[in-house]
Amino acid sequence: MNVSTSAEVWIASLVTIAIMSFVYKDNPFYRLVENLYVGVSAGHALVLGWGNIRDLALVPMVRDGKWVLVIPVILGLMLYTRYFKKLAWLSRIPLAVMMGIGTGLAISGTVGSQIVNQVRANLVKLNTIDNIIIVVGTFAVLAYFFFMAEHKGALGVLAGGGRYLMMVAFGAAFGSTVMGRMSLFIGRLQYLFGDWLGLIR
Amino acid sequence: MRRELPIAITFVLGVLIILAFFFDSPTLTNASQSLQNWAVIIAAFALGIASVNLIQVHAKKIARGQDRLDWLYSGALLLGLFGMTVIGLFKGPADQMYQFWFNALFTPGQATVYAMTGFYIASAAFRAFRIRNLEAGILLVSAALVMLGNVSVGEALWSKFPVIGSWLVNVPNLAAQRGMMIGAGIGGIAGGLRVLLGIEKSYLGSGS
Repeated sequence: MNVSTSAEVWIASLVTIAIMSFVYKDNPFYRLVENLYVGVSAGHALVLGWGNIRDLALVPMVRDGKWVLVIPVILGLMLYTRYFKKLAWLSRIPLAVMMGIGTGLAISGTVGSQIVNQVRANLVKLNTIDNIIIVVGTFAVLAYFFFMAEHKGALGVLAGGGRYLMMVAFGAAFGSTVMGRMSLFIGRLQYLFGDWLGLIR
Repeated sequence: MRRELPIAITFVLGVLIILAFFFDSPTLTNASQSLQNWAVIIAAFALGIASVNLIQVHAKKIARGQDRLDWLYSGALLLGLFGMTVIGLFKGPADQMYQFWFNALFTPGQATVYAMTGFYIASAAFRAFRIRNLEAGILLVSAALVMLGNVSVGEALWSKFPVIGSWLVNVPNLAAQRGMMIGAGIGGIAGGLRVLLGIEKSYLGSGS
């Protein structure tokens, strides 16, 4: 047994055990580490946020004279007007800017990746059983989401097939997720028994 | 004015980004790129708001001292928050001390929290997979085949498990995912248009 002497490995291992202990039941050790983790995550996000403000706004303003970037800085500061009752409505303006940009990006991104690219990828030759299943299956799932007509007759059959196909997809997604989480769990066990206790290589 | 101006700003900026996507114009592309940088800068300021809220909530908890150990948990949270922030702001995220706490607390914390969800997924599976109807049965068989196809014990049991698992992921799953993606995409566009046109305005909060 070759137990690690690194403080970092010891703390990381204790954090791992504390979080794992929640599987048994909620306990003070877990809650302490959970709160510490939330605090560290928030602090890390804050440091990254400051890095963005410095690199995307302050440095280009001072070094390259891009003073137009003072606008997003003022908009960012306007978010803090929510702490002053009379000026609180001003914090809606930066929110509106973010919503406008976010919604514009979401719509344009959706059109490209979720509609045009998917329709294009579905235009395949129907020369194999797999291709037929993919094309017919896509239409069947779309039929399930088509609510402008009652799901009866041919549409009902197609929509029913789409529902079963979605169950296959949910099952596959579930199986893949479980496998992914299990491999993470195995990774933590390897860390505890390998990096920390030195019982395995 | 207090509600109409933000709605107008949302509409103008949203339409500008969409136009930049559909039209090959350097002016629109540059404007869109600049606006995206602006959004990142504003979002960074929003992180400050989140931290202020976190500090307010936990400082109150410490002051009240309602629960026996509440002050300790909230104190640990604030210690982590201030510790990482002070080291990160003054020495930078590449600093050795910052990296030490990042690797000792953040990385194992994140990995273990995600790993633990595996147990809860398994317990949820027990409830979801009880075969009550055909749909639940299909879900169970599909998940079992994909899992057996991904582990070496599955291949040891029957060499066809990896082939079947891979086919399930690449063919029926692909068809369903594609249909759902197109359906969700159309729904997303409708939702986005509601925001741009000022029909959906919950993000502005209540009040005048």
